[in-house]
Parts: sequence; C-alpha cells; structure tokens
Amino acid sequence: MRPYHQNETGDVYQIVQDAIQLDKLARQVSQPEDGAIVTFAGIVRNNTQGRRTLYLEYEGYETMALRKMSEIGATIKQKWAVNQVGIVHRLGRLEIGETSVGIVITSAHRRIAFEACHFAIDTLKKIVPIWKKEFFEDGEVWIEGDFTQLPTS
Amino acid sequence: MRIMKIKVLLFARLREIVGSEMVELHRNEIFTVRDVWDTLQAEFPQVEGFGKSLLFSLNQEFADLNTRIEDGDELAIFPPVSGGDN
Repeated sequence: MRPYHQNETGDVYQIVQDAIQLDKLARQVSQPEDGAIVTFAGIVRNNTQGRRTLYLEYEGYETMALRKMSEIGATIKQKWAVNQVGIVHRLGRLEIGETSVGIVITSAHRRIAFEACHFAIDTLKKIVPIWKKEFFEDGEVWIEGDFTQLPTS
Repeated sequence: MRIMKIKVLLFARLREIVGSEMVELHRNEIFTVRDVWDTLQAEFPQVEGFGKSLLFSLNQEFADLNTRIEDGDELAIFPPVSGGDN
C-alpha cells in the first residue's frame, strides 16, 4: 500500500482532496537508516479567538503550490542531513479536527528532523499559495497571511 | 502592432471580488506586471485599494510590479498566503 507518490529522490510533495493519512505517509518514506521520524499535522480548530468555527475551505494555486512545496524540501535537504521529506496539503472543505497539512521528516538523528520540520511548516505558511476561508454560524472570512513577511523570490 | 495574450489567474478573496478565477487580457503596450495590474483595475474598479496587499507570480514564480511579461505568460495575483495549520 503506497498511497502517496514518491519522486525520484523518494520524497513526497502532494496536494489531495481527501483525508491525509500521516501515519501511512511516515511509513512510506521511512528507511532502515532513519533514527528519527518527526511528523507534523496542521488541524482545523473549532474556534478563532472564541468565535465558533463550523468548517474551513482551502483553495490553492496547485501548480505553483507543488513547485513551492518541493522547493521547501530541496532547501531542507541542502541545510540539514535529512533522509526524506514528505509534505501533503489538503484542499476543499475540511471539518473541525481534520488534517489540512501533513509533514514528515526522517533523519538519522532527532534534532535535525525537529528543526527541519519546524522550518517546513513555517516556510509553507509564507510561500505556498494556499488560502483558507473560515465559516462561522453568522458569516465567513478569508484568513490572509501577514503581508510584512513577503517572500523574496 | 503586436497584441499580447496574458492569462491572469485570481485566487481567494481577489477571485471573489472580481467574480472570476481567470481573466484573459489581449492588449498591446503590456510590458510589466504593473501594466497588467493597471489594466485589471481599469476593468474591475472593485479591486482598487486591494493592491497594497497582493502578491504576484509569473509562470509560478514570485514576481513584483516591475517584472517583465512576455506573450503567453501565466500571471497570478493573490492575497498573502495562509495555508497550513491554524
């Protein structure tokens, strides 16, 4: 069972419309050389500053998003001695508690896997063109990123 | 005079304000991203005031208002990104 597509270097960069299976992604990219597997799941929360959220909708510029996700992976592999990178983002309507983004970093030792995973989610939120709209009982609002953190390339 | 064909993709709140996910411009005198943005503002006045907080990409790479445009390019205009976790 290999639910995700691994590229020629064994890494996964994918956009999906259905539930992200982070455990399967981790198992798929892991290798005997790994001493650490760090995973991150971004989850749809049930409120924003106390206002009850019903669900979210994610929209993406898919071709560019995939390109930027693989750029993040390439940067990680230059900066840290990680073995594999897996980044999967989901689009469409997501309910409370569902996973919007899943990240897996494998490496021989834990420290660099933690650092690389932290870098991956922080950078994704700045340069990967995906937007979310939050739906409340009495309205809806686009969540927009911080424009002062402009990507440089 | 040569007429350029530029495909402009719009996303998120900008897509909703314009009411379309793609606008095709057929113009001469388009040289930079700024020319496209000016043309779009002329055709869709409702986007005015939005311009200070938008990102641009040309052929899936981040661009700015001074980036040069060639015939057949794919330009995208969108708000700052907010994907990932909450």
